[in-house]
Amino acid sequence: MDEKAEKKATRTVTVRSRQGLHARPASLIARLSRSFDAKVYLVRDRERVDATDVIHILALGIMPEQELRLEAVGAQAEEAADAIARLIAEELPKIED
Amino acid sequence: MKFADFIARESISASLRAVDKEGAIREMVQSLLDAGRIDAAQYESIVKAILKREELGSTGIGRGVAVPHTKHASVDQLVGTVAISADGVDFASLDGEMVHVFFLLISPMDRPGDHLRALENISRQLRNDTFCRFLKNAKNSAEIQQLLDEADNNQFGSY
Repeated sequence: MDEKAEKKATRTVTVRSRQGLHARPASLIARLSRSFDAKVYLVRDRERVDATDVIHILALGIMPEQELRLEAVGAQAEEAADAIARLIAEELPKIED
Repeated sequence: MKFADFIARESISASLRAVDKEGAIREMVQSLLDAGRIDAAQYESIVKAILKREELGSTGIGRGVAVPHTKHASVDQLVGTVAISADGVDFASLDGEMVHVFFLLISPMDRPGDHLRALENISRQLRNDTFCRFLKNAKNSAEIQQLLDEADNNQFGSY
């Protein structure tokens, strides 16, 4: 079994962006998710989507103050989960358009 | 939110002629003007606002689709249009694909929830490959309208 592929990380974050996860935040999440050697997913309720796909992120329709779960699987799972959690919690609230 | 709630039916185009980003945006805003959905005096200001938003990052969201948009004080409710380009337009999308399907949205300044719900609806429907493919291949505005109506009636099973 490939040990690298077994690395997993999860985080729970609350979306603080005043306008929710609209197009620009979704693009930034997708772009960052692509930069790691890991598969990254966003989970809301029972819906789990590929975090590199803007269309899938937008389809979740995440409103302000909603909670999201991040799941990362792969060699850089921890790094990916940390970076994306930080983006959502700290950077995205500064973006208004 | 359904397409019928924000897409101006009479502004839909299956034959976008523009070959670049600015031209495509101008043509779609013009179609909303021709449909009487925006004020002629605001045309240039709306186009500039949408272009400014594109400078922050492309609204090309993948699968050959873009959602150029802006908030604008001149509209009192969310209004949008759909346009299809057979040849495609380079919109600097994240996935590098040419854009064939456009949903252009203009929102009032104070209604971010409506904008988010419209994006959610568009994206949910786009996840369906059949809807996406039929939209790209639509030959006239009536065909596009029919697809939007079918999506509104959940005929693509995206919910």
